[in-house]
Amino acid sequence: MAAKTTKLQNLIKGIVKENPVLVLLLGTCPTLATTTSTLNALGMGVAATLVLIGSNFAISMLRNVIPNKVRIPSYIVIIAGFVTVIEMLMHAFLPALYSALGVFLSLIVVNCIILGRAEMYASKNGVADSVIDAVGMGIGFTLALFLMASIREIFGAGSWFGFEIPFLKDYTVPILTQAPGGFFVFGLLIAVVNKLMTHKPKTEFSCEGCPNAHACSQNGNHEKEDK
Amino acid sequence: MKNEALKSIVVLSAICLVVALLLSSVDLLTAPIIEKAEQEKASSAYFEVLPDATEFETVALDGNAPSSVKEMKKDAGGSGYAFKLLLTSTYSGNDMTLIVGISPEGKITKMSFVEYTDTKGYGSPEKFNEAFAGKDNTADGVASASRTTASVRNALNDAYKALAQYGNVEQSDEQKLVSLYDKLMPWAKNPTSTAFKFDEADLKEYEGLDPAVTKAYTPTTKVGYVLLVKNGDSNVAVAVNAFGKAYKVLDLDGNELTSGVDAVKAAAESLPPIYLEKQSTYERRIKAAFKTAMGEDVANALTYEAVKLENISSTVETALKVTSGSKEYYAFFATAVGFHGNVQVLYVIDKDGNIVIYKTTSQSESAGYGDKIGAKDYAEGITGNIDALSDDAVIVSGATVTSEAVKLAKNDIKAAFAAVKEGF
Repeated sequence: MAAKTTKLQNLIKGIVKENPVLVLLLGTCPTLATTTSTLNALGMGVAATLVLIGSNFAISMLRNVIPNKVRIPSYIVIIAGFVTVIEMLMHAFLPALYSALGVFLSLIVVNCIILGRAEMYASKNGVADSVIDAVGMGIGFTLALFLMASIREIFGAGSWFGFEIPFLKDYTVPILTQAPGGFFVFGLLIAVVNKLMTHKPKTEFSCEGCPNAHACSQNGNHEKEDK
Repeated sequence: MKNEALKSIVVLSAICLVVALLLSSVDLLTAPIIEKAEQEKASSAYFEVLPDATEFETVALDGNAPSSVKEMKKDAGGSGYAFKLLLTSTYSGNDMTLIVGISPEGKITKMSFVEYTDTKGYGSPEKFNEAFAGKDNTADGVASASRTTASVRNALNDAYKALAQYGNVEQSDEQKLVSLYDKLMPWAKNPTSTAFKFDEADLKEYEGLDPAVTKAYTPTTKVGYVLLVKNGDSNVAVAVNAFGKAYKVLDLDGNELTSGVDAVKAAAESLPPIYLEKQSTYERRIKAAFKTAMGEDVANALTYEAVKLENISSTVETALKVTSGSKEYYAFFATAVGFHGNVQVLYVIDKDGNIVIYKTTSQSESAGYGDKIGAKDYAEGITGNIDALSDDAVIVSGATVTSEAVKLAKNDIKAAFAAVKEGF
């Protein structure tokens, strides 16, 4: 049995060791789509973090109430509710960012990170731990997006946060702002993180993080722990 | 088991209810803010297109307002009018909203797309601004985005109509003519579209042209002309078919004139018929079609005689009597507006009305969809008597706009053949 992690370890794991984007390879779609601009990437990261915190909090609070048979639809309703709240608040108070993020804001509902953490962590742990996990994962997601967006925007567009970098603007690599360049930068970052990490994540995470684990022939039965 | 199911239903329903309550609460808070921001955005767009404006007053539009015009604002300082226009029949199929400013002299000051959803590589808000700013709805538009141009021009036509109806800006005769295309040449656009595209013809090219003809425009299909002809102190609009026959005269308010227009029609008919300009091309295409269908010897021995169809007004651009030995045929070319551009078809019909040859002689429709009209098996399916040929025989599955074009051409050729038959 694994040693119980401290709250600090719980917070930090999402940033590096179990970074949802660069280690767990979750949320690849918004990562590639919104990282052409650093500002948009930060906006997406913060929005996803807020949804993650809200959904983990609610799901953790209701973990002993929601029957197993309807857990996925319940999680989706809760997550969709939080996403819609964030969307409406952003539309009202941050309209420029709302326009920039466009359809990817709504797509946070189907972001694997959100549902994955709900299924894997929030449904099995207390409220405080779940919120801390959400904060850590959210920070990790945002940092990964920020790093990737910075590389793509600086070297691909010769700017950062929309501000032109004078000595770079004539030496850009435009493909970095397009899909192939996005994949290239993504792959490079994964390679760098793999190299820097001394421990790889436990293999059971890869199955436990999947909402379909209980039906998958590659995994054993998925039992929800009662706390 | 039953308890479990009941619990599942109750819990899920309760979660949905709570989430719904949360969402409606947030909506109560944010909806007024969002609505105010949208109005300010629209307002700022009006100031963007009329930068010298001081304060906008809304012009009340009644039920007779042109359909594209959603809002009309007048600058209290007199710098012009701003319109919120709805663009339909766009390339992407999505409606677009366009804000446009028009000066008191009737010139477009600037355009602003609320959201440009058509293909950005071909047209763009910047390109449209460049094409129309300082001009009016008769400007050429963006060459690489003909469908979007047609939608924009259609909306601009409505703006100018509204300007004449509700504002103090008189339309020029050329602007008024643009809004009459639907009455003069309804087939000069695809039946699924509301947008026309006409190009101005250079009248200096034509010797012997009556000086009463002041302007000439051809549709993109080049089947016929729409002319502005002097009639006393004012201009009238005259439609001329591909055979050079003037078939309709309208005053610039759109009322048909049937008496006292002989001189106007004669002036319009001084313009050489379009079909004469391309006679050799038509003969070459017919020869090629015969060569494929009946062999080179037959094709080389063909003789041609132009048939002038004075009483038709349609997509039919030419009719030729084709003689091969003792056999006589009638070849008709018709050009209609397809999805990506013009679609020209050739029907060769014998004296009994049987289709001897069908060929799609020109098209640039979507690969895998409309371009099936250029396939051999498509042509082979168009046989039998022209009077009995159904619409279903010519349409292409999955290509609505292309199908409407070939259907229109087929039916027009059917009517043209009927007109020719009367002279047998």
